[in-house]
This record gives sequence, structure tokens and C-alpha cells, in this order.
Amino acid sequence: MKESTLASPRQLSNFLESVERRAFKQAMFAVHDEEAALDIVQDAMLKLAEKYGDRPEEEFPMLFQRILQNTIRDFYRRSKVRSMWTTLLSAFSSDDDESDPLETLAADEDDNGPRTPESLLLQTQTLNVIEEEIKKLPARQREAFLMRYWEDMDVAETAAAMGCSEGSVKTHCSRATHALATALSGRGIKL
Amino acid sequence: MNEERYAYRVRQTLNHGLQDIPQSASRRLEAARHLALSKQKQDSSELVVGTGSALALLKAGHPMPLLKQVLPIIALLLGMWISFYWHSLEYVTQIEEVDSALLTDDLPPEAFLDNDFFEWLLDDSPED
Repeated sequence: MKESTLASPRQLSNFLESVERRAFKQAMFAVHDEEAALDIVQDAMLKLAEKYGDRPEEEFPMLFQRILQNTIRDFYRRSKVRSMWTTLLSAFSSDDDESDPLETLAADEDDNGPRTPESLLLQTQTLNVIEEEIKKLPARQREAFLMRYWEDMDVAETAAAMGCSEGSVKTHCSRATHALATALSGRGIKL
Repeated sequence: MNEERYAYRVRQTLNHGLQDIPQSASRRLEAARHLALSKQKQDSSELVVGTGSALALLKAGHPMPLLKQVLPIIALLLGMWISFYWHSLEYVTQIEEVDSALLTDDLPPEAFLDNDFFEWLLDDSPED
């Protein structure tokens, strides 16, 4: 009976394919560094496959998120000084919180060619601002918000992945949503 | 503010952003996925199904899953057989005691005062 529920390599492959981009973004929100974010996602994928690859498919989202968040925390612990410098330096780089969304849009157009004008402009502006504001959220609020609403995990799964109570998850999510709403409306963005 | 509705709109916008992940990062993510899959922990019982042979199982060094499944069944059958055998022995011993007492005429006086004993004798000896 147990065998029938265990994940096959194909199921694990499908799962990883479905979450890898969001995981990369989550890591980017946390560490603000593409290379480090890619390393974190790779480590998380390896740990999931090596340690929990024989578990039922339904457990993958919770397990992967737990591993991903722990790997992000490990990264912070291992390179506290480097992380501090990354944050400090990113404050002066052109791709930072203070950057003009229009500049990023121009860069996107250079890479992928021009897209439809006004709606895409607005969308890109909104996306950049949202990503910036998500980066600014306290780590636990960001984790809870992204797991709950982006990864589509329920409260119990999110609580299990974060190692906290369901009440804490609800509180973190509520605060994160309100903080985002306040910040976005302060920057003239209405969703 | 409806929290869930607002979060859903944020989610939609974030999903749009997934399309703008650089090609180099996408390729690394794909490579990481393949690397992870090559190291996936496999359930050892799948090996049993795959090979279908106890010999292959032992050669592969994974005898425990099969033993774990078979041992409880063997233990149950053994228990049932011991229980049945013990009850049979007990029954035969009881019969033997009564029969030998009757044959040797060595019944205690109390036995002749026991109505149930007489009924049993009548039931057990219809030819009398």
C-alpha cells in the first residue's frame, strides 16, 4: 500500500520543474544575489532528492519549502559578513531598491525585444515594485506570505514548513499583506 | 481590504515575473534539477518489484523489506498452529483421565454424587 503512494523519479522531476523558478525568486528575495540564489536552489533540490526522494509526492511542497528556507538560513549563517557587504553594496548599485522601473524595463526590452507598450510597462513597473517590497519584508513574514499565497500551501503545511504554529502563520501572512498593500499604495500602485 | 484577494493579485504579478528569469539562470536550474534527480533516494521495496527475485534482493543487499513483510505472517501462522496443538493436547488429556478412571473403577466417591457426571455417562453410553 505504501509503495503506491511513493514518488517516482518522474513525479519528482515534475515537482522540481514546477517549483524551481519560484524557488529561485524566493532565494533572490532573501539573498539579493543571483549566483547565491542558484546555489541555494540547487542545494535544496539535492537535499530533497537525496534525503526525501522516496517520500510520497504530496509531501514534496512542504519538505522542499522547509529545506529551501533552512538552506537560505544556512547561507546567512555561513556568510554573514559577505551577506552584509552584498546588502550594503546593492544599496549603491543600479539594480537596487531605488532604481527606476523604467530603466529595468529598458533593459528587459534590450534582452527580449520590444513588447506591447502600455500594459506591459505598467506590469513591469508593478512587478519591480512588488519584488522590491517583498525583499523589504521581515524574513518570517516573507516566508509565510510566499509559501501561503505563491506556493499555494495551506496554513497547516506552511506552519509545518516554518516550524511554527498555524496562528503564527496567519499573523505573518496578515502583516505581510498589509505591509505590502501600504507600501504599494504609498508608491501609487493599486492592485 | 480582502487579504486573500489582494495576495492573489500579488501572486499573479509575481507569476508574470517568472517569465523574465534570465536564460543562464534557467539553464542552471535545469541542470540542478537533473543533478538532483540522478541522486534521488529510491524506495528499496521498488527493487523487489523490479527484480522479482529474492536472490537478486539478497545480492543487492536489501533483505529487510521482504523479511519485514513475511515475518509477521509466519509468526501468525505459527501462533495459530501452537494454539490449536495445545488445545488438542489438553482435550485429549482430559478425556484420558476420565476414561482411565472409568476403566480402573477408580472414581472418587464425589463423582457418584455429581448429577452432571451421570448425565455425561448416559449421553456418552447410548448402548447401555
